[in-house]
Amino acid sequence: MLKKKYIRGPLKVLSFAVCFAAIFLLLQPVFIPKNESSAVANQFYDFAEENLDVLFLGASQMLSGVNAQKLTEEYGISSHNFGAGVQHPAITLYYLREALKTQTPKTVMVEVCEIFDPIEDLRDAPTGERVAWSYLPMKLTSEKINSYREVTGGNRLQAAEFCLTPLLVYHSRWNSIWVEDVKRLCGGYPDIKRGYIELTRVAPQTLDYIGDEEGEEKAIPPENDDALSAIAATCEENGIALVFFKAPVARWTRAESKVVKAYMAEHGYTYLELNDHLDEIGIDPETDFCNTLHLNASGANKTTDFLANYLKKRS
Amino acid sequence: MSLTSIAFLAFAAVVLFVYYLTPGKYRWAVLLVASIAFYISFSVVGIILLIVLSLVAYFCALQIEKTQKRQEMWLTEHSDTDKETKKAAKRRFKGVQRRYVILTIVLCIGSLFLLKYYGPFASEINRLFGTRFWTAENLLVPLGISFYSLQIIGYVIDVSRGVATAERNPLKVILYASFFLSIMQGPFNRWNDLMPQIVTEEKKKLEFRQFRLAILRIIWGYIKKMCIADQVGLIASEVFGHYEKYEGLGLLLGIFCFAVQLYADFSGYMEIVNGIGDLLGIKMSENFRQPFFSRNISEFWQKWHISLGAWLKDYVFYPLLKSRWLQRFGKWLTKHFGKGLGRRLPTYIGMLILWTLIGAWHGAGFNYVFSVGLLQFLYIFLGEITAPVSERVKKFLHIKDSNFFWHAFQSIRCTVLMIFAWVFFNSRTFMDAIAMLGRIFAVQGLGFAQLKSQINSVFLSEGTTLTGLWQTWILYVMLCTAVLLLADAIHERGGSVRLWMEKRPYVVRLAFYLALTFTILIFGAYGSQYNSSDFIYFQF
Repeated sequence: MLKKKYIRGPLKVLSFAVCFAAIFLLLQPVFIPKNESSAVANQFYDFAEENLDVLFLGASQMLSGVNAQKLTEEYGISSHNFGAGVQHPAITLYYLREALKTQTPKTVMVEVCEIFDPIEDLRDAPTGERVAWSYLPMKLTSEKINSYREVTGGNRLQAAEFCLTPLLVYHSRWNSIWVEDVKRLCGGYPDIKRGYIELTRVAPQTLDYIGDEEGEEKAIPPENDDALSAIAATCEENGIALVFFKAPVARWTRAESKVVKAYMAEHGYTYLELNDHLDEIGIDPETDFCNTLHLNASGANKTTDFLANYLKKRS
Repeated sequence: MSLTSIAFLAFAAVVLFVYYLTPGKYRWAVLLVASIAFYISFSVVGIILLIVLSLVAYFCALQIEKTQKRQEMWLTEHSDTDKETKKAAKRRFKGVQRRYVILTIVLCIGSLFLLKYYGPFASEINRLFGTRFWTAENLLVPLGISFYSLQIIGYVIDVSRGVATAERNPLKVILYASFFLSIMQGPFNRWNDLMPQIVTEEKKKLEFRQFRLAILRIIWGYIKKMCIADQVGLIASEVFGHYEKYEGLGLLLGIFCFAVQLYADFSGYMEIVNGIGDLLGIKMSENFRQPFFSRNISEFWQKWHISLGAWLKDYVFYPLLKSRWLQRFGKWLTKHFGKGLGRRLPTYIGMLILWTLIGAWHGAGFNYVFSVGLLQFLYIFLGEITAPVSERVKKFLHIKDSNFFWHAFQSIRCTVLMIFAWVFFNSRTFMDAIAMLGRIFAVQGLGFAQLKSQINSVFLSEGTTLTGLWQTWILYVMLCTAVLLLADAIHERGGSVRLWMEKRPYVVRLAFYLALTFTILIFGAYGSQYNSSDFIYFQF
């Protein structure tokens, strides 16, 4: 009788704990906010069809500027975009390490639109929230916690809470959870292929790069230098060719390009400034942009054609 | 250390653990250390005043008791003396006792006045008359002073009345004043109710059933606070904070939300502290008894913040009615105007003083004195003088008191009157409340479209892909109200969800526990998306 009593109590506590954990784990993905970045990351994790020739890393300018599906299907260069709305070099490093756990690409191409952004800027509220999008869809690892902590400047406990129990962070979404959330959970975003986000809007632009002004000269923050060096070192360790590149956008100046080119030359990194090849690519400012910072589908396809030739020549 | 913080939960768990590990006769010391630590987590300086006032009470209570003993001895020794001499001696001894009671009252009320009321009062005088009195800007109101100062006074009065015995150990008086479960928002514990439970040699054991019921009560308290009060309070704060942006229904919704928030917040706190008290085997006074089922305002106040009303009645109202000058005034009125007025008017004067004190206890602003003081008096006064008329109407319409709809009508009427009073209570100033009430009727139509757009813009974060979510908030407010009413209705009928649930099969109980836990996790207002908010009564 006494034995029964002593067994029953812990069993009840255990059954509560198990049920609690099960419900918690079931609910958590529903509460995690979802957007295109989530689809990009999920697709990459699910992707196991072939080993990649080229892995593209970078922020939204890469996600919408390079059509990995076209590159694969039309040119036979197996590729994938592995980016997020915000991908500071420190986050790119984390994405690269995460990608190398399942893939051994021959070439890694890193878009550098955030090369001038100090890491502190990512800690302000609106950007900070966008940074969260870069980590939310990623698999739970100690690297994720460390990288998130490093980028957000928070303490280990906050980072662990964010990474381990996002339900506690995003529980306030109860008032905006809808069928859409569940739909997205069950494979929403069917338009995103191999991480490429197609933007169809057409917005004519005036390009800073071909204008009269040189633009303001900027400096690359030391933490970004560290992250870029770590990216280069990781690629070298794994025998991967590394190419930094800049996608064509309206808001990118020659002064910025000059600083990046000098930096890349100084460190001996390969750098492809696509804004130097706008005519070759065939970019039409009237039809190929979605907004000041992103190419639309037409621009992305032209850029992809150019990149395909570039990659073929390199190989 | 907020009651809704993880730190408090950890603190309570440690206190509980150490409490039950300690032998019965030393457990009060554990609670004393816990109470001091808890107090210090808010204010280091404030504890000094608490200790000083407790020691004053300790000293005065001892002196009062000594005087009582001296009186007894004197009477025994002088048993053969004449009545007049005995009366004179009794008066002398009573006078000495009264001096100690007055010393305690002066020091406690003096500190309370200086720290809580003097600053706003002096600022108002300076504003009105252009004077430059010191406004006590650098003085912080110590945590719980409105609660412990009254408790201390009550203790000394109880000793002088012979209801309580004077405590020999000053530390126990400090514990009584600083007891961590009641220091922030009450309840007002009487010495004789609280201390015998704490200072006992009996080694109480924590039974599993007691533990389970207490935990359920605590969880229910957290649901009231975090899922109802703090969520619904978002709408109330927005509307009261920017009432000039709202009209019609928007304002009514905000006002209604404040009523829900206030009740859930305060009663939620009581559930939590009473639940922790249950865990420690200490039964504290209940502060709420389904107030929204009251038939009139008098009954409402017997069910809302019960311990404050009871304290003021016992230590202010009844002594006032028994006071010589009011008795004499009553006799004079009877002689000149008849029995009715002679009996009623002194009672109304006593009530007016009582209600003014209740209002002033809440805060220094006129809005407090008016809303939960004078207006309440007016409600009760009007209720009493119109009682014969309403009785006649009831008879004419053949309405019985037991009629459900009549009860519902009375409860709704009472609730509407209280909600009206709370508009003044929660407004920054009296004039703000007047302006706010005026705007309810300023709108053309119902202001529904405006309400919808305001809720959409205020409560829905950017990037929400869905429209029409404002309805979720309205539904949520309705759901919260329904849950509170349902729980109160069950209690009103003498039921208890906790006891009912206890008899269900384990699977049902498991589902219930899980549902409660996830309710807090999902609907609770905590984390970076919310600003943590203190309990409303914490400020008083």
